[in-house]
Amino acid sequence: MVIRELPSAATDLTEGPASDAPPRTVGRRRLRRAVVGTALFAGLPAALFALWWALSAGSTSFFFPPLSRIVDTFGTTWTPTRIGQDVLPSLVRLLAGFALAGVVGIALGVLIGSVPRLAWALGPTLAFLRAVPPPLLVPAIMLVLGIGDGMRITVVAVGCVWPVLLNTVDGVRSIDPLARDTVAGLHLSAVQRLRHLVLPAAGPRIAAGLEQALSLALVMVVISEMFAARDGLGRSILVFSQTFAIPAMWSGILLLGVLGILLAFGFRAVQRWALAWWFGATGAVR
Amino acid sequence: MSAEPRPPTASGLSLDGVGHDYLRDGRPVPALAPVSLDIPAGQFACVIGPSGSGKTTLVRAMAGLLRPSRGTVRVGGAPVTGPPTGLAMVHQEYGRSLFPWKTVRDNVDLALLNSGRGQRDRRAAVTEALHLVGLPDVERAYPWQLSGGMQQRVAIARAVVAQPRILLMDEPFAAVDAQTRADLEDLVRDLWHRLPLTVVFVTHDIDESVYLGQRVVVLGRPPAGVRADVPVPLPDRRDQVTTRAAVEFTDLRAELYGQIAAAKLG
Ligand SMILES: Nc1ncnc2c1ncn2[C@@H]1O[C@H](COP(=O)(O)OP(=O)(O)OP(=O)(O)O)[C@@H](O)[C@H]1O
Ligand SMILES: [Mg+2]
Repeated sequence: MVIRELPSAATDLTEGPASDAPPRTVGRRRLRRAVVGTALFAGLPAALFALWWALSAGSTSFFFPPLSRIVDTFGTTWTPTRIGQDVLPSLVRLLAGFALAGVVGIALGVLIGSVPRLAWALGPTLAFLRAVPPPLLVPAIMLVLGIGDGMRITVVAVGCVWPVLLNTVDGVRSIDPLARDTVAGLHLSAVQRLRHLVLPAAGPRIAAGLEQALSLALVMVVISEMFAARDGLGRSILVFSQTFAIPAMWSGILLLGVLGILLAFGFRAVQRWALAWWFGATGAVR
Repeated sequence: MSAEPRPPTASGLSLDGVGHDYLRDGRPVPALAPVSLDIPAGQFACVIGPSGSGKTTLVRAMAGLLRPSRGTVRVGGAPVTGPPTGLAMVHQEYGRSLFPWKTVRDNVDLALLNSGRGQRDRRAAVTEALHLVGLPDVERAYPWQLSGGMQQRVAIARAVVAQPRILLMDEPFAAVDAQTRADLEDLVRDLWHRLPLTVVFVTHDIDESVYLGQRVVVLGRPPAGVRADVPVPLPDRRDQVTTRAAVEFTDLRAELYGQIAAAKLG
């Protein structure tokens, strides 16, 4: 005898909790999805590459050389020495700037997300700062920090902090009130709440922000190296284009794309590991 | 009311004119008319009432999670201003109160994090609590790998692991199937027998309240407050088959059914 719903034993049994035993077809479906996924995943870039190759094959245009020539130039341009001199410094700046953006974005995001009044007070300022195109900040940051690595790392950090910050704020704000009640009843300290509830609960959103930030970081590092730089991938590409080494310039752009792919993959591997619980709990497939 | 000898460490709970209005669009919406209740240490009290009668509001006030607009809650004589120590709560939605990023063991351990006890000691207490709720083999599993009934057992283990004196349960079994529910009811009775606990158990289900409690408090629609408060004339040892067939059981159920029907009308 029940007041609200009247679940008979029979309906109750059918409405029992979801069993964790997967149906037998799931294995096969998952395999097919993996095959289709891989085909799309690797197939689309391969197809685009093939298309570029075919369309540019007979090109006599100075600015759009055949892809075959770009690929030839790639090998001779991006020698180990050059990678050490130009690509490595860019990667270091990128990762340093990204890490800085991550730390600052998450810290500020947790703070703003936890204190509604702060979010309200900072709203206009943040909207203003966000509206400034990051490349325009380079000269300003240069005035303050000079033209060293500190300036470039700062440019990367300023350019890619936003998705981290905003996603963290959202993630913290959308923490289930019942989860908050739960920790309140367990008498956890503020640090313990941060570590055991807030950061993990906001984790999936923070990761989404970091993922966007990482691709932005690549863009920002190239931009930062177009101003008064002595080395770096961005400077190399700029120099190639200014000296009309067009195939080398294209090969640099190609290299950027490859780096972007590698970074994204590296990120996803870390994300899969760090958020294993989330992929397990939601059954999310990526 | 059956008066079993209780270990002396359970705490009692008293409510003195506790009422609450929520603010909706700046206007107060009455959710709970002033309730005065005295739940002595070691009692098993059930609270029933139609949907919207303020049951959740009442237990949240008892748990120190909500500051009532009126009145005072006292736990062991001391006024409640925040979540009191020695009080644990089990929520209806186990899916939301267990953390999916923690294993079963770590979820239960959360209740001990601030106890000042060493890791090894805590580990032993967690294992014991999981044994107590009949879940010895799932320490390393994640909550989402368990059935609903098992998840609710984990939530109960987390509630009892820190040896609370008061256990509040807000419709804890509303979302599990009938058989699991019967098992969990017996588990809660068993825990109450074994541990020095005062239990306040909120439910929609009249049968459940009679089967479990020593006393049933009926809330009416707001602003009615307590509509009835009746002792349960059943023996201490209960079981799902004979207790539910006892004439005292069916009589009380019929009486409460009438109370609830009247309460729904207002
Ligand atoms: N956060 C809130 N803001 C505004 N009104 C609320 C809030 N929570 C509950 N109420 C209102 O207060 C009343 C009592 O709610 P409460 O959740 O305590 O009832 P309940 O008896 O637990 O109901 P149920 O059996 O459906 O869980 C309801 O009318 C509800 O709409
Ligand atoms: Mg409720």
